[in-house]
Amino acid sequence: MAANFWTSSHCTHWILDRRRVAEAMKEDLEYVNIDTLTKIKMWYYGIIGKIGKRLQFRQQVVATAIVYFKRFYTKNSMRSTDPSLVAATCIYLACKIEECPQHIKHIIQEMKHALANLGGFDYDTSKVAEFEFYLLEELEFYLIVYHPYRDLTLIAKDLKLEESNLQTAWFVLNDSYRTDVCLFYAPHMIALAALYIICVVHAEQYNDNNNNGGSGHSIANSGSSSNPNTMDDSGILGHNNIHLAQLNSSNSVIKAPGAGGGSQNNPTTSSSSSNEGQGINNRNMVQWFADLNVDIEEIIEITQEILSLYSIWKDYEEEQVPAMMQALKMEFDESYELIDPQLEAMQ
Amino acid sequence: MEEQEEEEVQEHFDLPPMNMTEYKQKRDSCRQKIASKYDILGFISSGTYGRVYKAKSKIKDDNKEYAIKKFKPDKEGEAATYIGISQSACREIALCRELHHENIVGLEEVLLEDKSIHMVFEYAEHDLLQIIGFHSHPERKFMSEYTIKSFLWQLLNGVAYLHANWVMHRDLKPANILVTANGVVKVGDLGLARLFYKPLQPLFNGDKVVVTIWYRAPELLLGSRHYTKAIDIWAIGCIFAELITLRPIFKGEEAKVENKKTVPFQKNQLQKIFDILGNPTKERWPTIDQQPEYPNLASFRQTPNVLRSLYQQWPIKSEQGCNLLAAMLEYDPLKRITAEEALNHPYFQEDPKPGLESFAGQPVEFPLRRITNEDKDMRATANVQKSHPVPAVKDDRLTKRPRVDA
Ligand SMILES: Nc1ncnc2c1ncn2[C@@H]1O[C@H](COP(=O)(O)OP(=O)(O)O)[C@@H](O)[C@H]1O
Ligand SMILES: [Mg+2]
Repeated sequence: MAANFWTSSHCTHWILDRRRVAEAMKEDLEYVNIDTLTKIKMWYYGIIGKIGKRLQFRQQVVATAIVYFKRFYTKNSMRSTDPSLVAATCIYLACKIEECPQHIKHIIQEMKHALANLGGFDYDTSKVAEFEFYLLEELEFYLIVYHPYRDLTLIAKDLKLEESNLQTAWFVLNDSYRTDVCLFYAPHMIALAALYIICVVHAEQYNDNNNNGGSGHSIANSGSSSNPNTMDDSGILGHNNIHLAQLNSSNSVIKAPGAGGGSQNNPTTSSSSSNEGQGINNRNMVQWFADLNVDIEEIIEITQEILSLYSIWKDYEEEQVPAMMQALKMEFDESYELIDPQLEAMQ
Repeated sequence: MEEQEEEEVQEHFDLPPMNMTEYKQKRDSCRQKIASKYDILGFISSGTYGRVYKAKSKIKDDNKEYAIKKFKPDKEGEAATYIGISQSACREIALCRELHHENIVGLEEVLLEDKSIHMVFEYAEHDLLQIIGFHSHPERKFMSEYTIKSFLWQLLNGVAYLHANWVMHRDLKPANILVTANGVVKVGDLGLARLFYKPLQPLFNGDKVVVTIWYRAPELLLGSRHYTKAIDIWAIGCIFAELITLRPIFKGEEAKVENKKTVPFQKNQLQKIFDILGNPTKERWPTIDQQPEYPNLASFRQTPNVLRSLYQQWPIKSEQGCNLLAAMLEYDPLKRITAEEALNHPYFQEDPKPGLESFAGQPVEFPLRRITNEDKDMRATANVQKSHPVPAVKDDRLTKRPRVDA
């Protein structure tokens, strides 16, 4: 298990079929379109991340909570449940499993703060604790989650990857939690995709920038920490300098290495020699990926999924979320009658 | 400011009420009752975290027996309300759900009912505490070397699997080592177990004290914070000696916790260890002076290491057995033998070789686990099976266990 991903429940039970996930979204998609649904989910991932930051969790705790949240919604619709209660409970449970237990009241307080502008958070300790049971059941009591961060660190060491690149790749991993890749792919593949993005895709972008006199060296140039252990939850998203967001428009740069001589035609090969000291040698990396004994197609799928996130992110505005939620929760009148009697009794 | 508040209120009203009634009803209606799946045969034990019951599946083709561990419903005040699942239950569920090994107790399923977690384990007829008790009362009758060696090998085998998977058990003691009717060892009670590959989180965080005092490794007694899986090996060494002599090898008295902030210095327990192994020296344990309680060691009288001469009076004659014991009771955690190394120790190459059916050739018939009907909580739903009466062995090891939850 812990030492062996292949025998873990994550691998044997929680690498999912896309059809199953699509099935769970059906109900929601009757009310909002897929982009809107993605944005609503992104908003909740953001809430989880914010609370994690405020309570100074390690990134792994936030990641586990987000994975629980995603797994829950592979079996339920957003519409028929309250994502804020689900999110709070996911955080609470993830803290225990990641060995940094928090008092439930603490998390409730943070939820209230985070949701002040969106319906508030009307649950007390017993409601969250009660929901923990439902969550455990939905997770089928499989609670140990693998994350790509460790894989990334190991590979980076192996590759003698430059610190700033490791950091950027780390940020890409943080962003990857806003997509569903962790439901479909093994963590080491996601780590490889993050490397692929910064070493192959972004290196081209970088070199282009460089040739144009651009100054962007790291995609997420605001990262201040150089130690991956202390890296926060920053992603590339939300930084001013979102070079990656431009990348999706030039998807053509993503080519399977070794497929049809893509690397030979690579416009950056000529300039790479002038980039001495920048660490990434694009051609070498392409070769490195080609030599890996992994399914490169899969890495490219993951890469594309992450990059397409950046295009949705481009026109995401937090202020729109209440309206989106309202559309999602559009009700026939009778549902207003359906007030939880227990909840009412407690008030 | 005012404007902002107005906005908040407005948005608050914009959202239709979100309630989970329908969701809960849907889930509740498809949840199976424990009573519909299992017959409760009786009550086995009550510990710090809950109660254990013996049960049988209601499924016709399933003749297996189960032990259902019901965690105490978390209480706040009088009424049982939900206050969240304990860290201990979380750990045990998370780990047991991943671990699959012949020598680790198998988790069949987890059920939720009555505001409590119920973990359904494969049933084990015995545990080492009960077996040791049976061999010591009314008069002492030693176990055969084959049985001891088989227990030890299987215990090491289970723990080697845990360690290979970065899991430390942290509470190995006879009561937590289960044995099936066929004599197969099943390491149980992973309520204190932890993953230790996450180096970002210091291990001493949260739980101050681990391992029941008699089985607690010297580095823990000396306040070490960077303890390792070697603490499990020390406990196994203690259990090995106890299987041979039927008495705890280091039977110290636990110093009581006076205030919650400080961990008391366990002088008596250390003295019991030094009485047999001699005082630890810088030669035997080069980093001993880095242990937080090191200054306290000055107050101990000097005693020699008498383990070997003591062993010679014990019923097992193998010298390799003594070597293995000494290797597990090594003071320096870095020098202490690992589970994997211990499995390959020459002692296990010698006759009698260990086997999976630890009781093979035993002339005695073991009493069955005592189960009673006295528990009012989960009533027996079937007739309690008649078992051989066993003299009730009063032993506080069953219930004593360090509390660690925050
Ligand atoms: N699978 C099992 N089969 C039979 N008896 C068991 C089983 N698991 C536990 N027990 C009995 O219940 C006792 C307490 O269980 P344990 O898991 O150690 O919980 P605790 O946390 O209360 O110590 C054990 O010492 C043993 O006697
Ligand atoms: Mg126990």
